[in-house]
Amino acid sequence: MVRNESMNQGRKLMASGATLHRWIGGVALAAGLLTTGIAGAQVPTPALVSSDHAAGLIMFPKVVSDPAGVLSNGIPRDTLIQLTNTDSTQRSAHCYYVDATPRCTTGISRIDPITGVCRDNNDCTNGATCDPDWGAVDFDVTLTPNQPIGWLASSGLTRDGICSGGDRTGQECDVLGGPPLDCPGGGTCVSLSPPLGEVPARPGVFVGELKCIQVDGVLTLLPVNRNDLIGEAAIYDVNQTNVDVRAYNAIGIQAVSSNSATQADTTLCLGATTGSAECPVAEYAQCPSVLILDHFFDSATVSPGTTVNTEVTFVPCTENFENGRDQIVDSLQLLVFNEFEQRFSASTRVQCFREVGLSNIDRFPGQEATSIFNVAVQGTLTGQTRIRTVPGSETDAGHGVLAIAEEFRTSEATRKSSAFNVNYVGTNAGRGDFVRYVAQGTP
Amino acid sequence: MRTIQGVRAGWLLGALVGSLVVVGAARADVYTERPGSILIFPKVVRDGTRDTTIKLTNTNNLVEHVHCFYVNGAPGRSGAPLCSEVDFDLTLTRQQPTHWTVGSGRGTIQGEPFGADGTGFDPGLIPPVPTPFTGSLVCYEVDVNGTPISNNRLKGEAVLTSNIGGDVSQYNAVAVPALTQDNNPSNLDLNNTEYGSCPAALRLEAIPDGSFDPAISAYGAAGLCVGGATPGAICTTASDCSGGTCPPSSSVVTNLTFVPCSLDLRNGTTATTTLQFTVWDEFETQLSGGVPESFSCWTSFNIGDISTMRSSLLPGGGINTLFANVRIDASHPVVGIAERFSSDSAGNVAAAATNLHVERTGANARITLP
Repeated sequence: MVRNESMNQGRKLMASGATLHRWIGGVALAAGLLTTGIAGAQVPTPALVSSDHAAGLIMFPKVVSDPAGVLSNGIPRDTLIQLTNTDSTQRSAHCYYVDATPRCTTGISRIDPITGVCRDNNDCTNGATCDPDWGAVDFDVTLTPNQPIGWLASSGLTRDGICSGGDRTGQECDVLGGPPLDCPGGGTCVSLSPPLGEVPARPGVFVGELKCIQVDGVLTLLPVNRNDLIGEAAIYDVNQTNVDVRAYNAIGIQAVSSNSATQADTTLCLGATTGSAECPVAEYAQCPSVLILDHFFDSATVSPGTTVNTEVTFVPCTENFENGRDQIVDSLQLLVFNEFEQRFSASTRVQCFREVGLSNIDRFPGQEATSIFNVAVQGTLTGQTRIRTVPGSETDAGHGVLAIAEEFRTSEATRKSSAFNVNYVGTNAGRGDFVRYVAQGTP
Repeated sequence: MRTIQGVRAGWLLGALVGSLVVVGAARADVYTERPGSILIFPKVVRDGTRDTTIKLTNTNNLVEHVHCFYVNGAPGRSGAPLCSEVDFDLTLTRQQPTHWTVGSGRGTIQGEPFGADGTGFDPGLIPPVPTPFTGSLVCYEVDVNGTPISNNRLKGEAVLTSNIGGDVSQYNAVAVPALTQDNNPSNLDLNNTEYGSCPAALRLEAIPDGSFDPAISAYGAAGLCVGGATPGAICTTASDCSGGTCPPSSSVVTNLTFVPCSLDLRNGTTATTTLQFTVWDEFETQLSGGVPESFSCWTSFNIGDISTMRSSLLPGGGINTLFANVRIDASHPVVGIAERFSSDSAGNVAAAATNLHVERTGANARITLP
């Protein structure tokens, strides 16, 4: 089944006497037995937010499709997404692309008159502003036991089968069991069974995130207490003279229980929220309270003629797919330490999705040399930035954020990049996050 | 006034709760995005074509002392890995980040200019590694006397940089959390009691070696023209070949690197670890196979060396789909990373590294210190 139509969005006790000793012995024995018993029963690992463990909710914070290179200096940019079921049973996922592509409010842009895509207000005409849309597009996939799938964000998965053998082995094809028109060289177009589902293409320019929720099946789309999904994204800048790839693991948010039970509603409770009737207990791991980013300071010279800059992409943990425009605003407090133990601070805000160069957190474009994230201010090559989310008082939304980082090394001739997952510590107790979506046939 | 019964009850309750807490806290894996007490950088390379930059940070508000050792997995005269060890000490002030490139190490020169590579509080003398060096780096928290301690405040990344073209890939260090205070200066037990346990099974989301790179095929130098008006010209599709064809020739190679979590640095010996691979393609077809050779202290190989992880486009390859799911079962606990190299028909190569997914933790491991 395919759905891609919606826009829903510690003291010692000093005592003597045989009695007390017997008591202590008994206590020790009881404790030992209890300990052994529990250990023998294998205390489950606490649910994690983690990019290296399978989970029931996974996030790809940054997905970009820009085949014409409108936002990347003419060099085509695309994202290769991989999604895998690690379980030996068929599993399903309900996914959302969140579109944060900036577009001129009038729909007319100087750099892309057709789609209105823009970099900033200067690309828009007649006083229009350059704002993200924040629409969401959903789709469902069914994965057979241990099945891996993958697709380019620009093209999605829209065809019937996969070439087995021949010159195009592994590529999508349409001609099922027929003449191997799509699979030259002796290949056969083989259908996936059961049908995988359709991953919509993101043609034109797309900048945003992808979230996938493990569900009990594509008919009900209710979340299920399982942790079977892993993912990876590789962002390419590629043309006929250049190849540059950076990759990160999808961030997994594990379900607290893995008893395979279907959850009652389509509100995912990422941690418990005090005072919330909706999420008094956690269904999924809670998002962190502090992100920790190790980075080179912007414009640092890392080798002769090569400087480095870092971009961070933030996405909120609270997301409302019932109403894409009803998104929470998160405030972030940043502490920056250089190699002299000197401390600086800054703050910024995130709504729905934000990709930002470090030096543009506290400075406008053109003013980067005066940013606290710039080597010209800090003087040492590397820094540590601790990014603290500011918890609110709401009982129906949270303020957790997650992030990935991209590091760009630029020389006169080349621009090369790498990506990595951002570290984190801690949680804000009683301040969970909420992911809401709509499923067919559910209240 | 408290009675003896009350005291007894309090003891009992306290002991039971304590047991629960201890046992509950004693389940832990390794992490790649949370600080820990032991950091393992599985792939550190200085081989003449690439060098590695280490980023290491103290996330503590107190001074952290760190002991590190390189393990050289480069082959010796016999062809077997040297497995030799070189160690050094670092001191990081509160919240201090530091970095060094393994080929040059880091000196203790004071008064370096603003913005220069060595500017900042020097954490200590870090020796350069020899060329070639292909191995791992392990760092762990110690007190001022060098005794292992358990603050769980270290984090790090490694950046692999090509000397030719400047291509880079980056991965997070594997952090092993300390669970209880370790006062034994002679070893580190990764046993879910002293420190967390290392994985016994890992997952890789792979593109079989020899497959065409899908992004290069779509936008890049996917092939070279055959026939037509411009034979031998770089092409993306046949339309670039003026009547000729554009047979695809981009390729993907994935390199896996593993380090055993049990290392005997005192005696320079390490138990042999064997890896078994179970592979599923997109058709749910399952294939399995093992590395021809097991390894001791460090190994790094292309998945295409194993027929079951090779595209059918290559001789002897068995995978007919573009994507594969690989479960890696190790006979002894290991950690590892993956690095994928995408190359086009023009000779451009780009690398991207990722951490492997943890499937399940394994048996106890021990790092025996020198």
